[in-house]
Amino acid sequence: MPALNLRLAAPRAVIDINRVPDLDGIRLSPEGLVIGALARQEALERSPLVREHAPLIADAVPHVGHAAIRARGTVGGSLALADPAAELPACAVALEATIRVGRRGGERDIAADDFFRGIYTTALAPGEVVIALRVPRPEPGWRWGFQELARRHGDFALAGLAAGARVQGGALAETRLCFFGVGTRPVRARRAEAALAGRRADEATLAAAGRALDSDLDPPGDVHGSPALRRHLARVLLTRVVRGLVDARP
Amino acid sequence: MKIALTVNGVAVTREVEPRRNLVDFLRYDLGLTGSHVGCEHGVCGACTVRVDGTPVRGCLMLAAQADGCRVETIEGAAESGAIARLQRAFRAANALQCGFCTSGMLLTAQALLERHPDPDPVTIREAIGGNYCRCTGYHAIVQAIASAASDRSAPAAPTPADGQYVGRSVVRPQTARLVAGRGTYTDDVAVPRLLHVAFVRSLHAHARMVSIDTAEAAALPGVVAVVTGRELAGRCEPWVGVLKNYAGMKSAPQYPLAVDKAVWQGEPVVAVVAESRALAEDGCARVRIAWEPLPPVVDAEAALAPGATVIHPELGDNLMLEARVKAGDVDAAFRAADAVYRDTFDTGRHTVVSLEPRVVLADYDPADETLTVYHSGQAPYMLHDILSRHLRIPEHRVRVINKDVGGSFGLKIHTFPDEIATCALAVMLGRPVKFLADRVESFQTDIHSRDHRITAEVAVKRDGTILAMRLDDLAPVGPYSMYPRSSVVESGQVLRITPGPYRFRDYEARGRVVFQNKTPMSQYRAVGHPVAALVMEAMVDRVARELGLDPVEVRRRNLLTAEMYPYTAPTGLFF
Repeated sequence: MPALNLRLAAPRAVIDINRVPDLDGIRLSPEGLVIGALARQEALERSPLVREHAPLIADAVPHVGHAAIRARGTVGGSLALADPAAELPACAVALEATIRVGRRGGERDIAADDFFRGIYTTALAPGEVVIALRVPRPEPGWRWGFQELARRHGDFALAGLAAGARVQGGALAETRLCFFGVGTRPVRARRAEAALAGRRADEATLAAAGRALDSDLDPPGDVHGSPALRRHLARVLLTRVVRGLVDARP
Repeated sequence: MKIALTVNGVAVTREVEPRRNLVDFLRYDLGLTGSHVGCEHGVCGACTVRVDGTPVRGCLMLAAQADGCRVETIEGAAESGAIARLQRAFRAANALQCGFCTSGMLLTAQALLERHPDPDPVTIREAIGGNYCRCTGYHAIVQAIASAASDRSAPAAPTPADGQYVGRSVVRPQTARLVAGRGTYTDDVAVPRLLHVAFVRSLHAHARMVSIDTAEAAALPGVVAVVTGRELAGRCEPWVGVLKNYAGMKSAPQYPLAVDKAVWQGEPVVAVVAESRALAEDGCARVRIAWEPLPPVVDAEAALAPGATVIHPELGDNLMLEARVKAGDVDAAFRAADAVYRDTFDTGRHTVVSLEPRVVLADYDPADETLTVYHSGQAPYMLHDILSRHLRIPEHRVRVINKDVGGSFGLKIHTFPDEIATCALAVMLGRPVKFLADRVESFQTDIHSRDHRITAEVAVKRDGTILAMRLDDLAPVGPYSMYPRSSVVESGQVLRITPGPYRFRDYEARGRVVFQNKTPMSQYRAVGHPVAALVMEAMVDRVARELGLDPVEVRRRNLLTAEMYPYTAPTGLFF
């Protein structure tokens, strides 16, 4: 809608999917949590199912805009828009979720990491529409953490991190770090993840992960912040969120 | 397409354009002008209405999507008595000034209190986080919502019966209208046979228009006129924004629409007048201009260098004004100093962002040759004079009416070419014409301010006493000096107020105001003060740091003392 109002987009037709039955459901299936494309962000915020089975999303949603925005904003809209500073795409990548898309006569699943291609660019083909976000059931021991840094609450993040970790005996057996607002799409920080693998979240390890992060990220500079500022914020987030993951109760 | 919905409890069936958004439908089709449009892209919250009970952005929803819904606006909430407590509390706490954001604030607060009857301040701030207020600063709004929640019988502060106001809190009488959505901002004024103008704006910072093809736009159904700068130029005397009390100041004649050459990105170049704003914008998209880009002048130092592109060749160079202030014997003081410190400061441009954009509705009656202008502005008599002079209409046949103004802060005191163009078009067409800036236009064309590169040098004694200061201000402004208050006053203020409350008497300053191919710059609220205070205080801190002294102590040693007031500063300021 903002793009239409500001005439940045001038589509020949706009199709309102608000009345499509059952597209806004949030349900638990054998493979995990299925969130319909039309589920409002506000519904995610209030859903006990999301809180229990996708706590990362429950923690992320309050950062999306403001209440009146979340009252209308949908999961499918957020994923399909693919704003690089948006929260839900980063959560989808961190959760290794899949995005179910449909077209006339068929459906397919796209891994979240393959779905986001660049700024406002996705793997959706012409004629395809997002139907649902499918969050796999996490294996035991996983914990999740979400933080973002913005000038004001509700603004687009200068940098944000959606993260998960499997903690074993106080060490990070596996970690997933997905940064947003620091690239053209949600960015998995694979080198930083590797630097954390099998280690405790002590200062030396976090510093090493922070250094590794420099080669994972290539943040843009704009009026809101320089690349150097964004790198710094990303390192701050890494330290805060990873410490939180280790300290949290499973 | 046909929609049927309930608005404030009344069933409504209407034919709407599919692209009509909900707030425009409510405002223009149903006349419910209490909901306002501040940003058009979901950021400001002024258009908040409730759809099936939920507060939503009226600008982020199409009217068609409200088909079958229950919509409530400020008018319904106010008239039903549902928000009476909130209205009273807002008035008692003076939680509104211009009132433009107030409808959205009240409906958001109403929904909050239904969910959380006794919210804490954090919850209140979170709830209204998406509603911008540019006047009050939020604290009073948070207080008002908290008091409405806690005290169900919160009485409004009384208006003193004895007529004694000094030292008392009183409720402003005019806020009664504003908390009921009954303000009349300029865009709320309804006149018959109204036309709307939208402007094709320059895509380039500096470019010549080789050709303009308006045929396709003119042929569009609903488009009434497509007018170029050259066509409008004959209907309006150009203006030159120079002030007589700044010797040597220069600027070039400015027309309502650029003639042949555009000098900033966003400058209006072609006007499209149509039966609706949307149709006028459709027309703009069909105007074809062949541009020949010219080198943009976007750096102040480069603009003054020999061989620089000159924006207005007839002026000879890009220097709008060079001004100097000199007091005492600065050279001697610097020679006598124990140390000299020098720093350069860059302060970035920013702009006003009044929640209500610039808007003007000009109505010309050819029968009695009278121009009536509804204007969101702060200087109706100034505009009255300017319109009379430049459109060549005798003063007694020009009328300027200021209704409620949704924030201005010094923005709406200047002469903007698109507004003068709107008035000239009304005269040309003999019909009322309205221009309402959208948010993108506001950013591109509202005045900017506070762009300075300042080099400051202080001479100090070892004990931190400041002996003297030198200041050099380079102020890159726009391609024209704004009319009639100019674009040089901010630099002049910086030169004069930088010494601030400090005692030194030896001071010299130079200010150079430089033409740039950027959005015109001029002064608004706190003219020059933030820049001057930043430079002076940063220099005091530098002195403290260099000399290993407590910054508070350095200030104590240099500040004017109570017995020195009233004081005449070395720059001539008296306070």
